[in-house]
Amino acid sequence: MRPPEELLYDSEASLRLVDHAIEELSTSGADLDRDARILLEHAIAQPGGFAELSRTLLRAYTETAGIVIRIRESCGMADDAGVDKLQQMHGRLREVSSATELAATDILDGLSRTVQLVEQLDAPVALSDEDRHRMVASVRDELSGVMNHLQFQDITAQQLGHIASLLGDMHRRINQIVTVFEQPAALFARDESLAGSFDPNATTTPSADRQAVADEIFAIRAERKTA
Amino acid sequence: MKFLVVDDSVTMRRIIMNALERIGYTEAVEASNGHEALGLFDASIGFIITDWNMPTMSGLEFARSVRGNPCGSSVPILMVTTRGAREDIVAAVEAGVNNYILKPFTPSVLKDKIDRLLASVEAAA
Repeated sequence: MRPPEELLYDSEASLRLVDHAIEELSTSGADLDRDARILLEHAIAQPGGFAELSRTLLRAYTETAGIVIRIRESCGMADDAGVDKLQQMHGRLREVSSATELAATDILDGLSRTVQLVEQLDAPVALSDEDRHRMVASVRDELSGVMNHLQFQDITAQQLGHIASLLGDMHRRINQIVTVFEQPAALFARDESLAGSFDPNATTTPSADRQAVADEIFAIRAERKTA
Repeated sequence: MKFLVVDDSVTMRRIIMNALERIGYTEAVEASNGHEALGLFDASIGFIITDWNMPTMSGLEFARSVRGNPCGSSVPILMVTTRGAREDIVAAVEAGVNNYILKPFTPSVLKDKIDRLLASVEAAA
């Protein structure tokens, strides 16, 4: 147990330090927010003002610390989600770009072959009926193949739909962080007509393995039905 | 044989319609989602080709609705979709889908599946 004189001396010294700090705050009062200065003066003028001031400062500290923790959490969440989503979007966009190029190349190849066939048909060389029929059938097949290559449009549209959905999620996440500081900006208007219209895993890569899995499942079902 | 082709992509519908025409099926109607397709579905429809992912009503919900319709208990349903996960395929089986094609597909695969389904319908009749 410390002697009362010593405690009194320490308390007096502490109060002098607080007084000094308040004095400093008062001199830089011009920089302080007006409301904060009024609050400070009010607190000091009250009986037990210093105790009230310390409680106020503690409350302010607790609130500030809470906000900082929320900001850190939000930033962490945004960072994790953002990196993951950005990687997904990057992968999707690369796939769209490559699928578009591949389809364009296939279409151009098909059209080149078609042009060659048409030129052969148009050449002043006598063709047998059989050859002519065969070449016309080839032209038809080539043009049909060109049409078939356009399937990439449906699949890449689904991939882009997925990217739009990821961007919407990121925007909402950023808005959650913004609300910590101020009124949120107008939310990105989600296009509800897109809901359910895309497969997030859509791919333009033909896969015999995936088709084989489907065939196997349907074959098992057919066997069970007939058994 | 009248086909009902259901897909929200105009491009896909045109590709499927073109493939059907080349196979020899010229009678077909189109819908852009399950809900619209239900409005077109009646006893005159002999074969359904449907996508899975569509707005308003998915192909899976559409297949279930068709199976719940007295006219739709035995009509063949072929699903043409990008969804290749095993659980998706099983869900399609449970919804009453008869066969499944993964996009992108070739016209020969489409022809093969249609032929097989129609043969099984004939065998069952």
